[in-house]
Amino acid sequence: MQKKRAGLLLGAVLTLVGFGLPLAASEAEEGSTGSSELRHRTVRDWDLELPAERLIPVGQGFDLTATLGRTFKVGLEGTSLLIDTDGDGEFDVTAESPAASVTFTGDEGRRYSVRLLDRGGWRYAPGGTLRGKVRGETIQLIDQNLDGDYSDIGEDAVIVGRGKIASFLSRVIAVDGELVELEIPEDGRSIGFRPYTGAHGTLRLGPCDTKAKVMSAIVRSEDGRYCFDMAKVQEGLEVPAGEYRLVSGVIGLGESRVSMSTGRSVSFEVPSGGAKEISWGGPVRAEFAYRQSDEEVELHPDAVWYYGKHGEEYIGWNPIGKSPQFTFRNKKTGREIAQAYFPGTC
Amino acid sequence: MFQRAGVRGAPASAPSSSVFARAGRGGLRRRGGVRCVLTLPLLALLGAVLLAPPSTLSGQAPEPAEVEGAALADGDAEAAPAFAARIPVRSIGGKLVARVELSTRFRRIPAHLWIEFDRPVALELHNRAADPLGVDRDGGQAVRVHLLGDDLTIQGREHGDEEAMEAYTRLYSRELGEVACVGSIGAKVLESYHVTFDLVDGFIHLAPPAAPTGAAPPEVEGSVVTSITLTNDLVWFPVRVADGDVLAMAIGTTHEDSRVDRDLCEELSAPAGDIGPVLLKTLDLHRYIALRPEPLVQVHPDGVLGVAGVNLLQHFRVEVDRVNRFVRFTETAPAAFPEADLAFFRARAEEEPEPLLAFLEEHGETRLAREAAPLLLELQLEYGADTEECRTAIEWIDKTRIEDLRSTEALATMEELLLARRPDLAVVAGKIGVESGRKDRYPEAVHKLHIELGRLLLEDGDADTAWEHLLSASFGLPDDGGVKLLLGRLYESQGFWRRAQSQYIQAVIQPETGPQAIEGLERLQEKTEGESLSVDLVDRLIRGKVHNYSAATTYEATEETETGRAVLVELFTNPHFGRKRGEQWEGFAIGGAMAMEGLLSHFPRDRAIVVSHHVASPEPCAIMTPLGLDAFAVYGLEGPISTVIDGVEFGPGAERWREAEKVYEENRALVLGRLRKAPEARIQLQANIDDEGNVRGSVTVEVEDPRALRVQVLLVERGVLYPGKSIVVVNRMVARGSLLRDDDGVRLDRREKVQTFLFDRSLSDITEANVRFLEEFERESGGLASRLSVDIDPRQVSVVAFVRNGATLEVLQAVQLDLGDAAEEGGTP
Repeated sequence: MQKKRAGLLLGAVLTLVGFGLPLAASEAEEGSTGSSELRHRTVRDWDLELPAERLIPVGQGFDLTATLGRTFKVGLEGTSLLIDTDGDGEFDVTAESPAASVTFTGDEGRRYSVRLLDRGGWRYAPGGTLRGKVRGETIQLIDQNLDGDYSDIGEDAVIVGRGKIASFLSRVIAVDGELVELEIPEDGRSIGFRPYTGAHGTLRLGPCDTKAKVMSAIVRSEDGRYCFDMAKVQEGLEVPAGEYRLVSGVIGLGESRVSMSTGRSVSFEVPSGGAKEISWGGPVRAEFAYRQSDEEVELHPDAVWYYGKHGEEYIGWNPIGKSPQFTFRNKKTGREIAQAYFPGTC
Repeated sequence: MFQRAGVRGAPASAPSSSVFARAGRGGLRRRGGVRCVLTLPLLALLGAVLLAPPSTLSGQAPEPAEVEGAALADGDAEAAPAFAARIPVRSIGGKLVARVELSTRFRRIPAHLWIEFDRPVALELHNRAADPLGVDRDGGQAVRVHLLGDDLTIQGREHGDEEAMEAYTRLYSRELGEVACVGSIGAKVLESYHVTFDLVDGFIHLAPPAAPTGAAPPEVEGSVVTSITLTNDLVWFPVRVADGDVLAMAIGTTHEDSRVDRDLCEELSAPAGDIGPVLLKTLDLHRYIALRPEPLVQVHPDGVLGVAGVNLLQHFRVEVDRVNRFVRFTETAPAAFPEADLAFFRARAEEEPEPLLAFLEEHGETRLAREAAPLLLELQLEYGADTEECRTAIEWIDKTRIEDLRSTEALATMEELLLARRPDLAVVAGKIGVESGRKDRYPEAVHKLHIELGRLLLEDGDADTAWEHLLSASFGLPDDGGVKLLLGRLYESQGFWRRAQSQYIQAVIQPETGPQAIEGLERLQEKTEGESLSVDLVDRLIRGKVHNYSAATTYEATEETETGRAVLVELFTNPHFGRKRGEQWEGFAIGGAMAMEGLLSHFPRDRAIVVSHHVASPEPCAIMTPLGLDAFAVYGLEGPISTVIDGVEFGPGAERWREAEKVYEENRALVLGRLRKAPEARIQLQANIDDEGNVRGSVTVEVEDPRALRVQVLLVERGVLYPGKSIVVVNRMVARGSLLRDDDGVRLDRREKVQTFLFDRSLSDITEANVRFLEEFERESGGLASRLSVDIDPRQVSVVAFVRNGATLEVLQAVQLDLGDAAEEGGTP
């Protein structure tokens, strides 16, 4: 990859020299400071995982003023959703139940994609990204809060590199272990970057005691400005100093996944010039609720909770159909009375 | 609904032997329950739940749990397996699949199952197999998998990826015969056996675990023996790569290709997976296979190289001895390095269209060409290629498809191209797909292509060509609403009114096209100045095409039931309570609607009066009213569909059409029961409607004790066209609004035994109020409702008055008056 990138850079330099243009540092992708054009990309088979994805009702239409400079109306026709995707006031696309994707076009051919789902009424979720390069690393921005603006620090989402798991959009990201401060204009046309020069310290997440692979481990500052994925930086990472909290993560093995969320975990401080290490993962504390009536004990799959060492919660065990096994014992003798598990349909 | 969970090992002598565990999705609340706390090692938990064995939750330290779903030897659940079996397997479409029979104590069925040695599952089953087998009944059933030799018995099942199974069955139905792929057998079953893969012979052999020997077996000529490690339920063997590092490779059967960790390839500057020799002792696996770089979510203490796939196993007999921790590879098919596979991985790694096109031109007949062609089109779209370049990619997609699925799959390409805002290319893809229509194994596919082509060409103004496609589709899919609607529009645009009307009538009964067809019919009525469109007209035209119900008998008065009471039946429903399964809509509320038709045909109006309220769940609709939502809330109903008889009896309402008679009979019995009770009020109702749609009249109520009583007068429309997902087209007796000042009526004066109330309200006033309510509802909920049939047809207006006890909600008496041509005065004895 390094080889390919160098080749591309050389090509760019030769082209610019050939046209007699001065090399402007701000336009180059290489270097500590610069900017990069952002290009829209529709993700046709959505396989990105967002830290706080939600489906919101379509309502009266899509307000994409921030990105595309206009609003787009919708209407119902039978089970289908009629959509004006070019903003001319006329319906031009029909989304058929139960799911569809559409791409809106706005000023200067700019685009914005959403996924649509008919779940007791039409709802939508992000369906595209803005893609650019920061110091040669691919960066993808996702309008997670669906307000049409990709620059909401702490609310929108970002993927740095080739992965599929996003973290919250951060004012500062780490590229090759160095902190880079981002500048994203509301119109989402380009992304600016420069070295982060503020106070910083070292954060290290202790090894997660698991047989599985940590695919993401997201920490976010309490003010929402900074967010980092610690999954691949076991040796620690320089981050802006401040109060942080574990907010989300994914642990996987093969096709199985479990998500991590804040749960009961408390915030921690990364001191300026200092270091902070936090422990997380196992042993997991499992809690469950039950209800006893007469001679029956009722258990519910939604009433079992798993907490990690730092208080983080593990949820969404996938694949479904797995179950903890419950053992009932006589309190006095310790003798096993019964075992129970949730059936595969739970 | 709660389901009983599996319970095992309850000794009869135990004092609490009747303790049952119950699991389900309702009922248990965190608050008020007892909260138990215990601590488990994360290794145990993640190992247990992620990797399948259920974790043990109890007050004691967790012990190794008996695996739910682990294979047990027949006849003895505790002993080690003591049998020999062969699983007949084939490699179809990149998956290793076995033809078996499955049985429970209820039933036996044939099935295809994927064999997934590298997935930590036991038995995954599609609901379509689990339901007839009754696998989840009574807390879970043992499933017997019938093999050659002995059988496996597996306790319970897990859910699988049902969509993947269905897509696989559809794609490879020819190879699978009539037996669908409904699940998979994974590592949690196979780990209990001494497993030998012999894919050249077409079998996987299962034997009891070997006896411990304490020494590695000898290598014989032609075979290589090496140690294995067992990590995360996978079997790993060591391999040495070019730089001398020793990494771990797992044995897998889930994928055709042997995969290598993409991140590792990047590190080794080999993004196409050509990392050089992969040595299993002296055996270079890279001579047999090209490694496919993919993201791998696996861990192993020695570092992960990848997972061997079916393509490696097709060259070796592979014997796995978990007890003595060795694997033996014996070559059964000579090495023949798949140059084409590597060429594809190289082209794919470039992420540019040109290398992929070059690959297709050189290796267009090979297995991975089918994957390369769609990728080429995707990249060309991404790079903004012109139509001709994209046409080339579309042609490659067509050429590399399974020959008798070209039309079927062309539909998916059209959909993707429309998503990419390239209708011109969608037409190209459709036309190419149509050419293979006669050979396609799914005959409806070509007709669907014709519909899509007709729609796109009609939008593009090419009516003549569109007509050809639509006509062709109409012959092939005579019940498809979409093609009828498009033909209706086409004929309408050309002035063929009668033909257009015929098509719209056929489209009106489909949820997707009903509202548009109604609009089309309304336009035609204006153009032809014929009989104005009415519910009655549509009702006549669609008769026989939709579900209707008429009672087999009529009400016969008896001394007991002739008390002078008219019973009020309120149906709470929603026009969108249904879903599409395959090509057909399944309505969950139509049984209730048909039952109401039954009541209306059985009872005279002075004995039973039906009023339907449309509520906001599962989807808001244009014919819901604040009146209906208030009544729904007052009754405290939980589901959207049910009937309330005289405010105090509750009957069924949410059923499929097949259950209509049952719903009718139950509600009829409830009505008959109420008829036996003498009314406690008399009502005189007088009303008329003028040409401007003003409904005026009066209601006089006579009661002995007026305390706590309210009188309510509703404007009801006898038939409303509102086709929706519940597949009801004409909705009967729809409550539109209150004719008195409040939705919950007027309270009677406690001092007067006879009281009269006047009403005067226009239809337009009710319509405007309902539309305002809809707008407000949409603003507050974010939901969206159509505006279909918000106007009230004066020819369909009825007035229903009733007296209710505000405290008990009991209806004491009711009366209905049909306006229009019908009588304008009515009353009760």
